[in-house]
Amino acid sequence: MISHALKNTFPIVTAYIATGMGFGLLFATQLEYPWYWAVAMGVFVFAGAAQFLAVGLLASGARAVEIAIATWILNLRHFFYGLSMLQRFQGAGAFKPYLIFALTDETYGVLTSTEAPAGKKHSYFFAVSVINQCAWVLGCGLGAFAGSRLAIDTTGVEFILTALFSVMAYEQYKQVETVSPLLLAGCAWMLSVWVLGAGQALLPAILLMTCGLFMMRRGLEK
Amino acid sequence: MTTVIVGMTLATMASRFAPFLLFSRKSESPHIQFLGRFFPAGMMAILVLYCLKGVDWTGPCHGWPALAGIAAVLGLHVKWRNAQVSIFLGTAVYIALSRWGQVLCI
Repeated sequence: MISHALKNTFPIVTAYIATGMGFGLLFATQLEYPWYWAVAMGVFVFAGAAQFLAVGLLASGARAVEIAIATWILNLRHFFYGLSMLQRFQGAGAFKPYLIFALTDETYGVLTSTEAPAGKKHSYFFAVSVINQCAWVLGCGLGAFAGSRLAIDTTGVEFILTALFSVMAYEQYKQVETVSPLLLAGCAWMLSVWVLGAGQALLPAILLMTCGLFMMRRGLEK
Repeated sequence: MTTVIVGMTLATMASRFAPFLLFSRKSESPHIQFLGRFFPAGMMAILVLYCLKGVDWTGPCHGWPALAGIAAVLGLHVKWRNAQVSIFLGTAVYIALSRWGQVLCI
């Protein structure tokens, strides 16, 4: 079960260490806080994009309330992840609070798109979540503590996440046996980018896509 | 810094825990089941597009290293269906093209 989780999270572990290091390095160079605060963010906040955003906001002197609001807006999409995980997390018992806490984009992708070992679904979910967070925290710490000394060129490694989501999209297509949700997502994204620009498009695109799914419900459930 | 981290943690957790607190009794509802089945598919596609938002489509390469990377990922995945192979080889294709492929861009 652990080896199954390690195998399925390996790409994420690589990407999280690299991206976490990127965050840690930015944190250490932009702000004058000791390195362990970057680790604390990885442990408690555990939200990649929000952590990057926070560095920018902190550097420009934003207050804690403003940073919290920005984080909330940025992570609102996780609400939908939770909705679609209600059933999968049912009966997870003691694992459940941590599974919900650690539900990042990438973990969500793995949990919905890979097959869990029979009868060990929730311990597999738990292993995936823990491994991913360990990698992220390790990356944050390494980047903040030693980033400027390591000087590894990780340009392009971020593509692992693009590749990961592409594979997950394909696996989802295989599961639902129709391209409609994927095409709908494409239309929702383009409309959203066209109206609001790529920077603001994520949440509106998710809302549009969800509305579209319900509108197409009859066709999809056939 | 403690206040910032507490604030960010609460803000993130608000979104992640809300559906479980609000709808935990509704997990058998057909609407929730429908969402559970079809939402991840659309979401993964949106995340792919979101990951591409930094691509410079009007630059000299018109974003083709990223498109070739995705094509490689999907091609490999359709052939072998091994996620690790598809992801790492596809990323290698992207890194090689984006670092040394500029000579091919017009």
